[in-house]
Parts: sequence; structure tokens; C-alpha cells
Amino acid sequence: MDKLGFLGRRLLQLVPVAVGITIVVFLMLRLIPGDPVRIILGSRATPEAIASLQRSLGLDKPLWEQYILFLGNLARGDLGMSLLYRQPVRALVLERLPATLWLVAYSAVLAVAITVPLAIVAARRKDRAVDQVIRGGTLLTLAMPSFWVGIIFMMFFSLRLDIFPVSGLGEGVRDRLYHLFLPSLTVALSLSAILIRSLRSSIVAVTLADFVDTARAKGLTERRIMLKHILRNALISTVTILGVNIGFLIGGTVVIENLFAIPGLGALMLSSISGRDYPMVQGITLVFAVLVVAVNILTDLTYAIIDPRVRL
Amino acid sequence: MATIQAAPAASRATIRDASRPLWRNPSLLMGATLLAIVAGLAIFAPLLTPYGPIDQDLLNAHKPPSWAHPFGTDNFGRDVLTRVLYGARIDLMIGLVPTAITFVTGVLLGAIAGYYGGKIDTILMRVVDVAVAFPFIVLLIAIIAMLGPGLRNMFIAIALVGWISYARIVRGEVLVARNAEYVLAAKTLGFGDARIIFGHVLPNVITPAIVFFMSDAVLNILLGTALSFLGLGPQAPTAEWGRMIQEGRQFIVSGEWWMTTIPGLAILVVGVAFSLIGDGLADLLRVEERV
Repeated sequence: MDKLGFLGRRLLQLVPVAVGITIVVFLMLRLIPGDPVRIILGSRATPEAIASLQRSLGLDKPLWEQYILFLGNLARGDLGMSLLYRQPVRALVLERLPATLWLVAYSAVLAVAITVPLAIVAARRKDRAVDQVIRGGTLLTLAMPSFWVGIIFMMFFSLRLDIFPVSGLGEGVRDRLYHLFLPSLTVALSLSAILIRSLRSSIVAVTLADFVDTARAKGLTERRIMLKHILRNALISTVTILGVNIGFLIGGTVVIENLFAIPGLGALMLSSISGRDYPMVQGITLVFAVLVVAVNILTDLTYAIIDPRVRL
Repeated sequence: MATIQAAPAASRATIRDASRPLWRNPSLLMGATLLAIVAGLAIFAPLLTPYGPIDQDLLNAHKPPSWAHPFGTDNFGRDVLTRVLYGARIDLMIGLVPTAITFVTGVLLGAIAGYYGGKIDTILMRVVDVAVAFPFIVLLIAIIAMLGPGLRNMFIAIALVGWISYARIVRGEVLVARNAEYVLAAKTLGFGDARIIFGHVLPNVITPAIVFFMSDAVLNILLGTALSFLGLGPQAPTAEWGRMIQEGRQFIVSGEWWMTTIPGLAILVVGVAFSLIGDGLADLLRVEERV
């Protein structure tokens, strides 16, 4: 019940954010220098063609009316027509969404799988050589451009060792996990560099708590203390950090999709730019924002589940 | 002048720590040295290499590293070392120019919102809530999609969105500081708002924003080179690291690693330099101990 109420209040808080997102996406078109219709159609367009595209984009009406129209269309799930593909943006976006979701989820899982063991080792050997090496590693990783890391991975694992494919999505779950391993690892690396730092310092902080002494006095094994007592508490702050960096994670997939030729939203967004497919760019930007907000709610819920004290 | 003495203890600690010799702060020293070296290489590029950044030499295209071309040549026979050196000019700009712009606007907006509170603050926080709902790079790509690709539009895009973090940091600090005794004292003395904000509040709360400047510079270099890699930054034949990686990418299949590996290492070096300076500054100014 509590958790349901929490979810309800959380959703209510989102209303102004959702309105803001629609305003930003709507106003984006205004950033185009000059007349978007003339830019789309080129200089040799007939006046009839210009007028007709203006009508179909709704540009012949006053701004506020355009916005109301835009909202009305959104409410019906209508994201407009792609200028390039001559198809509804929604259908094209929905077709590309699964690949991006796979990449986001896979990267998050890999990031956690890299973070937890390394953070535990660094915290337990605080200020020793291993800790210094891990700290230096995170510093280096944070300064590496992910697209370059991806290329290095391609050169080594795909071209030299020939154990992973260079591009593509794969069919079926197993094949997909295999195809998306390198791209997901690339996205996961930079994220885990952020997460390792925060999880390490919260493990160090939690280790000093009284309940850890109590657990030790009860004669529990170090392994049990670490997993059941310290890690569970330390993970709470890491989930928060993960939530803050969801935009970073999802944004990271845009670049990596383009590098590994994964047919997701990011790849579609880039190809739409060169084709001046403005409605498509707007639609994808909107979907990305919705994705961030949705994952944020998910992290909040996870937070509530991990931490029994939270009765939000 | 009692107001000056009533400033928080933290700023006194700052002065004490700043008097510590620079060699006691290895991060800052190493970072600053690295950055100075890169800046020097960028400035003196024409003296350091016999080639020009866009000089083509098709007879010597696709050459692996050798004495004549220590980092090899690209598909147009252009010297990769030369292009990396000249690229530093643009990439250091990508690290510093948008960061400086967003630092100034963000600190100003954050200070105003935190100091006056009320409607201005509410509006600013609403804008922040909306802006962080978008993945940063997606918003940048969308803005550039509308404005058109290029270095200038990339800077405009970052300037439009990047101030958010600074505004948040400074607003939080100012909210605490505006009720401090030294601010009340300044008000009692009848100082104007501008004098209080710039002369008293900001000097006491600016430290975290300065430290963040360095990690933001790393972030902007990574974002800028990524945008450039996607073809949204400076256009060909400009020598810029992200663009060079994009151009060399198709040749990794034939084993020509130098076109992509070397510019990436350059990005890494600059990123590490800024990170080290950031760590050093945080240590020097003792950000974490501030109340």
C-alpha cells in the first residue's frame, strides 16, 4: 500500500516535468535558422509544395495553437510523419526501440557485474596497492572516449582474436547477448568507473558502522558480513548514483549504436539528421526523455525495495 | 570591515592550504604540467612538424609509423602526428570554451536563484528538472540537428544546456550562505544586492563550482569529440581528434590502427590532465570538508 502511494505521488511529481519535456521538444523546431519548410524542400520548391508542407507541419497557425495541436497529437500517440521515410514516426521508433532497450539493460547489468567485485576488493584493501590500481583505472577509464574504447575492442576482440562480431544485433536471446556483448561492455565501462568510486567509499563508510562490529562479535563470517550487512547497505547509495547517471547510460548508447551499427534509436536519430527529418528527431528526443524518466521511477522503486526503512 | 573577518572558517582554511608548496600536491602538479605540455605542443605545432595539417601526399598514403611519419599517415597521406598536434588547438578549445561559458552563466543563475529565492528560484528549478530528464548528449544532438553541424553550433548547444550543473551547485551553496552572519552584516551596512552577491557570497561558495569546472572540462571534451565522431562537429578537412577517429575507423579492418588509436590517446591524455587538476584542486581547497 505504502509503495503504491509512493508510486502515485512520484507520478504526480512528473506532471510538470512531462509538460516541460513536451515544450522543449515542441520548441526545438524553432531553433532551425530560417524557414524550416524551405530548408526541407530546398530552394527550387514550388509555392504550392511549401504551403502544403507548412499545413502538414502546422506551421501556418499561431505558436500556442501549434503547441495545443502538438499535445493533442501526442495524447493520441501520434508523433507526426517522418519526412524521409514517409511513414508515421511512432511506427519507426517502436521498431527501433527494442535494440536500444537491450543495449541499455545489458550495459546496466554488465556495469553492476564489473562494479561490485572491484569495489569490494578496493574497499577491503583500502589504500593498499590493489586499491590504488583500481583508483588509477577508474581515473583513466573516465577520461577515455567510449567510441574509441569501442574501436579498440573491435580491433582486438573482433579483428585480431575473431571471437566477437564487429556489428549487428543477432537473432534470438543467446545470439543477441553474444552480438551485443562488446557494445554493452563499452557503455558499461565508463559507467562502472563512476559506480566503483561511489560504491567503494560507501562500503568504507558502512564498514565503520556499529552493526558491523555487532555482526563480527556474533561470530559471523567475514563473507556473510560483507554480503548481507555491508553490501546491502552500501548498494543503496550506489542505486541512487545509478539513477542520477541513467541519462549518461542511455546517452552512451547513442554513440555506441552508431559505432557498432546496431539498428536502435540512436542510429535512427543520426541518420535522420543528415536527411533533415526534423519530426523524426523530435520524436526520438521525446522517446529518450520518456525512457530516462521511466528508468528513474524504476530506480526509485528498487531503492524502496532494497531499503526496508524507506516508506516513502 | 568587520564583515570580512566574519567570513566562514572554510575560506581561511583555503588560504592556509594554498600556502602549502605546490610539490606537496602531486595531482595538481602532474595535471598542470601535462596540460601545459599539450598547450605548448598545440601553440608551437608549426615549428614542431615539417608538414601541414591538411597537406595531402597521396603517394605516401596509408603508411604505418616510420621515422618520417612517427604516427603514420592517413588515407590522404596526411601526417597523423601533425594532425594530432594541430587538433590539440581545437580540442583544448572544446574543453575550455563551452566550459567557461557555462561556468559563468550557471554560477550567475544559481547565485541569483539561491539569493532571491521565491518565483525566480522555482522557475529555475523547474527548468533544471526538465533539462535533466533528457540524456545530455541526446539534447545536444537534437539542438545541433536543428542548428546544423559545426564547431560553433556545438558550442552553442553545450552553452544552452551545460549551465544546469553549475546553477544547481551554486544555488545549493548560496541557499545556506544567504543566512550567514557575514551576509546579514553586509545587509545591515546597507550594501547593495550586487555587492553582497559578488563581493561576499560568491567568493565564499564558488569553490565547489571551480572544482567541478575541471570534471566538466573532461566531460565536454568527451562529448565534443563524440559529437565530432558522429559528424556533428567541425567538418572535413579540419584536424580534430574525434573527427580523425571517425575518418580512420574504416581502415581498422586492414590493420591500420594508428589513424584511430593515436588521436584517442591524445583525448585520454588531455582528459587525465584535467581530472588530475580537478583532484588536486579539490584537495587544495578541501571541498569535502566544507560545511
